[in-house]
Amino acid sequence: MTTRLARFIGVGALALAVTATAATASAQAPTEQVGTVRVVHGLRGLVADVYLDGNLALPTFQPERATDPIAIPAGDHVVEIRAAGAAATETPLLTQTVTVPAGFAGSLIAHLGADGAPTLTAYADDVSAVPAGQARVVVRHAAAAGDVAVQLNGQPTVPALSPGAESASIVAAGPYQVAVTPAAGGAPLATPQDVAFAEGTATFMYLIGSQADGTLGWAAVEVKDLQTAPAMIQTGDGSTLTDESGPNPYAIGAVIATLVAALAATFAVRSRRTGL
Amino acid sequence: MPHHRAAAVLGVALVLPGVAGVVALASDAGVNDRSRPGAGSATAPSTARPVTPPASPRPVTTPATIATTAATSPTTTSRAAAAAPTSTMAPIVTHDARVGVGVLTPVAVAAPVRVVIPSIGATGPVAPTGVDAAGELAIPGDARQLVWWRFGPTPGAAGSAVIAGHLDWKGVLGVFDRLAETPVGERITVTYDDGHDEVFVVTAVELVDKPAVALSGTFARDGDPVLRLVTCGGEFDRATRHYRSNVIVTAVPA
Repeated sequence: MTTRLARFIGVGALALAVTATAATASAQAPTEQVGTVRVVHGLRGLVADVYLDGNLALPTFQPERATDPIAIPAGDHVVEIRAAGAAATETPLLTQTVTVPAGFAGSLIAHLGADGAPTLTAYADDVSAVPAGQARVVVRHAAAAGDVAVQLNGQPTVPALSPGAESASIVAAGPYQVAVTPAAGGAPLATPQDVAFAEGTATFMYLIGSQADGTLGWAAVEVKDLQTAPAMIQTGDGSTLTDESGPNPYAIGAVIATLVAALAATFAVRSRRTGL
Repeated sequence: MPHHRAAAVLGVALVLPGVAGVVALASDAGVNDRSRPGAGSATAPSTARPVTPPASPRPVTTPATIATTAATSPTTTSRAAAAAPTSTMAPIVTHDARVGVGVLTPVAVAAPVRVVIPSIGATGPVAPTGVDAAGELAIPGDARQLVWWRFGPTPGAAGSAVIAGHLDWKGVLGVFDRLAETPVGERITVTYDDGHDEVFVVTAVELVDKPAVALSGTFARDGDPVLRLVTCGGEFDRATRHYRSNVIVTAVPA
């Protein structure tokens, strides 16, 4: 088991190394021949053995956990999921062929499809930089449920999301309450969840479970270190400078105040004279 | 502003036991384009194709099913090479994805509330801050108030903690008006909102042109803990009404 896992990872790591060497050696080097994939386990209650191309790649994968990005050679791969400990000869609970394009960076989630059957869905992950003070929130519908709407702090952030679809938002970093309702409106489908979206992160929120079974809920993967530093630190207005050439704004202010007072006085005098 | 994007799934077939399905990791074009220097034939593998239905209850026995000719050559090479034993491979790390239990839980930290720099007579209250509408560090119009960049580490935690204050504002000298005169070796005391104090020793005093302060490691989130005290300095630009440089005092835990 360990040998297989090691070989699986070794292939990915080596392919990466080969690509990096090629890229530096020649400008016409071929594009990367690997993709990176986070594997997310969204099948509640199932401790799984995940096979890749017949090899046990992820033994005893606990539900509602996710892997770090795994480098996988570009191309088609057969993914099989069995209950943990089941013999490799046993019929899998799920078999699906996954095509990994070269350079792919994303997530692959095992979850219940809209029809309630387990399936795999892939998403490209936007892990580009996030503006200072903010966080990226990507909501993905990976549940046996109809179209849903998602609210952050009661605001309709995602008005309608169909099964398999995703929606990305940039929000101010901080605490939020996440609620999910049917897209057509109605009572929450799951207990509203208090979360913290940290600054400079991307959070991939997966709605998992089954509406019919009352097991809808959230799994999430947070990607850190996407922050942008503040653009500038401005900590002075020069208002106490006395030895610089050029007018001091406070001196100007005083002059203007004096002029205004003088004008006002003049106007008052004229008013009296004209009887206005 | 939210936007919608269909799941990047080209083809999904069935999942029932013994039946093979196909899912393609076709990705958002923007993401892919950034990550590869030249497109070329790399899009070829995104064409999903069904796998031959299994004839036996053991549907998949072939270990390698790399599809396209473009991908086969280098992959085969690395696969052969990988057969050689190596001891440096990391295991696949997994993380708790349960919201509110394993991820997205707020982390409470002791925030700085006061800074004292004895030799320059600088003492001032500290308030947490974020960014203003222009994406700059938000600093209230009060010469006597210091601010702490609340999205970075608290002073003493890993990374670079930033506390900034005015040099001058509206005719009033700021708490940090003499920050550039801070001697190396000075002991700075930071008081936190839980009442405890920490002492930091000054290791460097620099004057850097704006906006280098934002681009350098001033806002680093990791590395050894450092405290950075920042104000303005250098020439005053009367056209922009701003000083042209920042004074940065770097201090480390005593």
